[in-house]
Amino acid sequence: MSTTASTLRFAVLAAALAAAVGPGRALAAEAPARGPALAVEDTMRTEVPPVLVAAPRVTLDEILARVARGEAHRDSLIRDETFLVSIRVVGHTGEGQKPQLLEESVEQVWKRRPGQSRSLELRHWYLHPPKKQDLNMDVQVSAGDDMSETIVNFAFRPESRHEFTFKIVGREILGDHLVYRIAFEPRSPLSLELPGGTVWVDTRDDVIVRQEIEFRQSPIPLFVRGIRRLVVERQRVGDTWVLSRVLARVETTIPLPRYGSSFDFGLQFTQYALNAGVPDSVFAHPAAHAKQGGR
Amino acid sequence: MSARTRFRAAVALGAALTLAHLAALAPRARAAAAPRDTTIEGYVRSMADSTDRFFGLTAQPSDTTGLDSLRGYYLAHPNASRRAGRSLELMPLVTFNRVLGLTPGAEAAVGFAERGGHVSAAAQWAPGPDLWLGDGAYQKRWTDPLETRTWELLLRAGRDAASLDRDDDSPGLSPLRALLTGGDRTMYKRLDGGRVSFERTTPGWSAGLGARDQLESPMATTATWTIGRHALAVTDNTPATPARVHEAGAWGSLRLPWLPLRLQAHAWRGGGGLGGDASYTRLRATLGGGIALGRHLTLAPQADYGRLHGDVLPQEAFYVGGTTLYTVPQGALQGTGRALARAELLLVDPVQRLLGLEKQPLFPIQLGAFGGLASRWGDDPVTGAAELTSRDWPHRTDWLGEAGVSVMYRPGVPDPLTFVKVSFARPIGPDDRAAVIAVTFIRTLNFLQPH
Repeated sequence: MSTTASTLRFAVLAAALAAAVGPGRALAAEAPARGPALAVEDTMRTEVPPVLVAAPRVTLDEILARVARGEAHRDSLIRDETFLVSIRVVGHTGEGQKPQLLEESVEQVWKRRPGQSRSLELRHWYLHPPKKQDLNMDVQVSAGDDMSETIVNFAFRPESRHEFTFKIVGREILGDHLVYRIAFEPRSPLSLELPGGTVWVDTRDDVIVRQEIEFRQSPIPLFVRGIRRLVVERQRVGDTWVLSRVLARVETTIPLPRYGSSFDFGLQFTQYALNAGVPDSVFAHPAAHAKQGGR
Repeated sequence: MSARTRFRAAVALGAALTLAHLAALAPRARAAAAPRDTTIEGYVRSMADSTDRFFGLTAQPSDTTGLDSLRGYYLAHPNASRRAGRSLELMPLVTFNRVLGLTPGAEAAVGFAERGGHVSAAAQWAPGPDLWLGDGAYQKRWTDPLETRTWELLLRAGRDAASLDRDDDSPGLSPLRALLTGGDRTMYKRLDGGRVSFERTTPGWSAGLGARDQLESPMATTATWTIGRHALAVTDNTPATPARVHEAGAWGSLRLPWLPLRLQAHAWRGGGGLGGDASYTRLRATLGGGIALGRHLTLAPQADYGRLHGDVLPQEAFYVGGTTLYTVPQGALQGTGRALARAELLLVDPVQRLLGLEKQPLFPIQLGAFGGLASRWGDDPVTGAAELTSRDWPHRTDWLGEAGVSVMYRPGVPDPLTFVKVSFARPIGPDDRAAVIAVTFIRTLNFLQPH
């Protein structure tokens, strides 16, 4: 190849590259003129006059009173109830561990006013069946004869409200429902046995539909390092909100054999029947009303 | 109009009215059949989904297949139910102090306080004085369904060795101290007899009545050994004055409505019309509580006042020292009058969390600072050193003060507010007390009786 011919080819290639790249840059520089642009608004001004809302805002005290009344009303509507409660213990629930179901029991519970209750254990399964019943860390739940579900509303009951401080932490509108999120914590820092938490209140019925409980410090530091999460959920059966689940994750100070350093405890309430009538024969058994305590 | 025509007109009118009626009913029927508002349920369910993700296996529904037929079988065959009653409880007991020695025993209990009653019996053999100790008790409780309001009846009879200071109700480390280092400074008395109490408890207040018929008698030191082969800090045991005591008492506790404080008051009357060997009136009032100072500090003030009138027995006197004032040895001062004041400033959160080391520390350490005042006056039934007086309030010179700091660990047992405390206390005032380091197992509000 001669030098002249080679020079000519480079010149042609350079001209072609210049033709390909140069106009593109130029087009890019001109693009804003053709694409979307924001106009500078200088011809329209408007002002909305302030509207004075004369209606008084509902105070926190009034909300708390409504919740107490709503919960009491909910309780008063239930004459009898039956449900299945499943109790489950799952070990090794810490980060990076493989959870293992250790124990599960299912009980049928009947309750009827005034003060009648019976629970019947239908199934109890252990991963490691105890060799001797007395030495086993047997998990049992007392259903009691109360239907007011104190585990949900303990902080909002008139007799215990003074032990907590409350704060509205959020409000949400869902359709025609207004849901308040109310945080509570023990009034005295020395009340270490009392938890704090957050509840979700549906203001249509003034009932608590969900609760997350927190312990600022472990109630028993010697054995329990902390309760990482404790959730109480409700479900609606007919027009009545009832317990659905209670789930807790407990972290222990010392790893427990079979349970590990973190284990879960869960209660699930299913197959509800409210005010459907409970035959007298259910309570005729000596085991009826054997256990006391609210739930 | 013919009959047929009238009939047709009537049928037509009837049909029209029926249709109109159905048309009027139709919207109602449609309204009744309208789907229920499930917005809130969907909202709650969406939060439940996040709960499911966190708890995983624990949140999964249980398999309840076949349980319906099992339930039917158990209801038809009541005796086939697997849960058996298991109400008998057995528990070993052991204690150690210098008047009893190492004292093994056992306790048996049966029943439920909320039903027919809780019956318990305990027995222990004390090798030092060659003595059987033990008692029987019956407890019956009536409660509302939530157990927030109760009536309680308690009957107890037997033989026991108790602290000479009848206000000393802290869980204490005395048995451990006595066994390991011989550092137990508690004085003991023997009690033979019975007592009964009836109490009403509500969330805001409680009140009770009680009576006892007990022979109070002295005990002598019988065990001078310790595991650590230490010499005993106190070898002698201040003797109780032998006396059969017939006593009636009343007490009450009230949470103040506008302050986070609780007031307790006790009154006991011995002898007089009740009989017995000693005649006295013993009064005590205590005020205490926890006041939040911001999010991280709590102030725990306490005040206590006690006064004894009538016969002055060592077992009815008021004591100062130890947990009431660290810089005075336990039980070193006593009299017919006592006034105490104490304030403790506590760091609520563990030190490790405040330093950002651990959010949930394995061994949560808390810090506190305290100041205390104590006085006792009147007749000293142990030494006779104090002068007889009818004063109801101490002289200015009767007060002893101290201040110090504590490092604390709260195990959560036997109650959530009991701490293991290592306290450094310095005396305040012109006297010959020395600074001390005290190790105690004590409730924060130790002047108040637990409720």
